[in-house]
Amino acid sequence: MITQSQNIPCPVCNTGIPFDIKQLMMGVHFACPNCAASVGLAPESKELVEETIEKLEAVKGRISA
Amino acid sequence: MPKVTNQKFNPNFSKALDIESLISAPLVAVSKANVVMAQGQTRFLLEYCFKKNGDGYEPILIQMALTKPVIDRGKVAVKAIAASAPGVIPVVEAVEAAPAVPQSIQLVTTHFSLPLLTIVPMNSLVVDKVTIDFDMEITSVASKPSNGTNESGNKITDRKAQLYGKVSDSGSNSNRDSKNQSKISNKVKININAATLPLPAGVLTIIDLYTKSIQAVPTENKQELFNN
Repeated sequence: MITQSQNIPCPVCNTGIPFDIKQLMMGVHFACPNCAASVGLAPESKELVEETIEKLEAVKGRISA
Repeated sequence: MPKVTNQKFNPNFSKALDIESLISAPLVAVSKANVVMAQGQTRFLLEYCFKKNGDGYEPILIQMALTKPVIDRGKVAVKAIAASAPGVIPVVEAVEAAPAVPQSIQLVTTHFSLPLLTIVPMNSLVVDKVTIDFDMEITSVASKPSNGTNESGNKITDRKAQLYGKVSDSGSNSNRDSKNQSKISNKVKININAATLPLPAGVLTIIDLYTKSIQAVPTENKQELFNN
């Protein structure tokens, strides 16, 4: 289930592809609602995205503390 | 290391303030909190989504995979080899075929780069909704002269009401109700609802710029794009 209203434009038809960052990190591919293309995170970038999201969570934690 | 002890917070509710200050104070606090978060957001963007390159910054790119089915006209998917005897399952194998052979659909994966900034959920670093409820006891009412002009240019002097009050303890209502019914009319209930605004236009423009950069450009238009 997609919980966040984040979109990425489809490189093929430019339609917004809704995605959830946590599911993207888990390797889920998100299909374009207009064409048959699907977009996912390449395995080589998974670590970098995970680290960045962890740091974002840490920043959020520091602010709310 | 200094020893930190919990200090008892004793707010002074006895001091009366004008009603505008009382209502705006929580909103100012929320606004200041948003400023702190916006600063944290900017620092985060520069620190983790960009890397310093000389005098400027350049975005950190991640690799994305785009999978799309394409029709391949030059290959055939399978070639069946007839079974030699009844009851034997025919062996099927994929082979290269001549261009005249019927089409096949294949999944093609293309890798493209995307700025990390575009997939980070930055909106979560703001106060999205604030609901503040408190009772206010009006302690005094004053009026002050207000000068203005009407449509025909005549000067009008009227008096504007100014309310002064203090934050009231809602728990004391029942005691006061029984003692003095007239006190109820001194109280007003303040309900403040504030919602967040979208990301600043500047940040949205940067994100939009980078997200648009992943669009494929046909080769004949590529030179025009660089010339412009």
